[in-house]
Amino acid sequence: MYRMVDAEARSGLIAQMRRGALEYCVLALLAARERYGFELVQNLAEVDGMVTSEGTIYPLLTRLRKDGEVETFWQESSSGPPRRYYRITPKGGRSLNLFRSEWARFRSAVDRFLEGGK
Amino acid sequence: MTATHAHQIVDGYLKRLDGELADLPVTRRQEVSSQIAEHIAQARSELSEETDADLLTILDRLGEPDEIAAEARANFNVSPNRPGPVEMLALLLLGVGGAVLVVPPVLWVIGVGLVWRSKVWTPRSKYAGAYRPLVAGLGFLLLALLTGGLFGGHLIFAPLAVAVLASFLLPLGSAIYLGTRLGRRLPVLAWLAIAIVGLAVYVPSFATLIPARTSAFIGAPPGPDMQTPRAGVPGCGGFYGTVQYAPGTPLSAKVPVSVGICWDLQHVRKTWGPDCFPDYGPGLVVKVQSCTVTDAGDGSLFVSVDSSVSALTSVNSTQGFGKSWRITPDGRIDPHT
Repeated sequence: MYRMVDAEARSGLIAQMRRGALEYCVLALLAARERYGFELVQNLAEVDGMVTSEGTIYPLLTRLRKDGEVETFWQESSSGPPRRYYRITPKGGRSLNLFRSEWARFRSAVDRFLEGGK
Repeated sequence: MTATHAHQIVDGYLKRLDGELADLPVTRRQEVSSQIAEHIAQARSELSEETDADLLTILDRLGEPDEIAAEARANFNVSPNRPGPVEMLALLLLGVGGAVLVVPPVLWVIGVGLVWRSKVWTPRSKYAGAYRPLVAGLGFLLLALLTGGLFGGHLIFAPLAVAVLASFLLPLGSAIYLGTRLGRRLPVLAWLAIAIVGLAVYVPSFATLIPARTSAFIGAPPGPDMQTPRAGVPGCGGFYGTVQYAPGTPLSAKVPVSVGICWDLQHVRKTWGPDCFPDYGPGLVVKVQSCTVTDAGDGSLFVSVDSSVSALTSVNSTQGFGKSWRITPDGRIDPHT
């Protein structure tokens, strides 16, 4: 029973870490260039371990738009239906930069302990 | 080229998603579901030749609607709906709906109404666990009524069995199903509370199914009158009989019968009574239909009582019991049927 709860809590932590980091992966992809939803999802899904269910990206995009970190616009496509594009805003860019530096510090700090506690 | 069942597959998925997103603010919900719809449209436009299997693959990769909804809740700080007093009441009304009141479907219908309004169950659970059993149950009840009327009560058993199934087991099953759907979202204490109230309703009903027990004795009044009768010289005392329902349970109720008698070895006669006072238990109601003393003609007396018991919480299960005792001229008691 305890072990089950324990495992659950741990997988919950991983899921939370992934969710937290995913947001900045999206911003980073959009910082490189604007992308439409399907494309963005495909880019993220290409990397193993980042996205388990593609559909879960959309609530995140909705929140980022609501928070003003990204903005959307529509564009016709030569093949298929018109596409909703996402573009990073200056505010999103600032969040991304902040995360970049914090993440680098955090990662090296954690790695130091994980790799032998030197 | 459109897949054979494209319409059903995609629409079914989007409909389920809408159901799962039901507790989000409406603008967020619309944005998420239109993004998902666009994703599907985009994915489909990239297929040269689409089949049902391709569509299912697209939806598989998107994930289950409840996963997407959970993610949306986490993003918009909407806490997942937790069952509250309304949901507990709904489960309770469903669970005991069949056992309480003269018109069992009333509580049941109210319970289903509460389920309908609640947001803790998914539309699918509501459909399978509340609406469908209710429609089936009302249909059964109607059928039982009609057939009961048709056969004029001669074929009473089949309609009765159907009615019991419809008004008793279906809502109970409904409550259990919906309760398990809540799983750990329903705290243990809530489960316990529902179970206790449920038991308080059901246990008395079942207590009426326990056979009744009877006892009787003649008690002589204390003092100089208390003596063995001699032929021709009357001895007097009191006859005390009891019919006890659900004996041995804390719910038991009884009907005591008392008659004043005098006997002299040639005949026995009544001096007062009979007195029958139904004695209620905490969950049972006893009614006395008749309480009589008759002269057998051979010097004996018959004391008889007809009574019935029903659970306080239910009128659906009533147990009736008739009992006679024969008091012989020498003051013996024979059970008489």
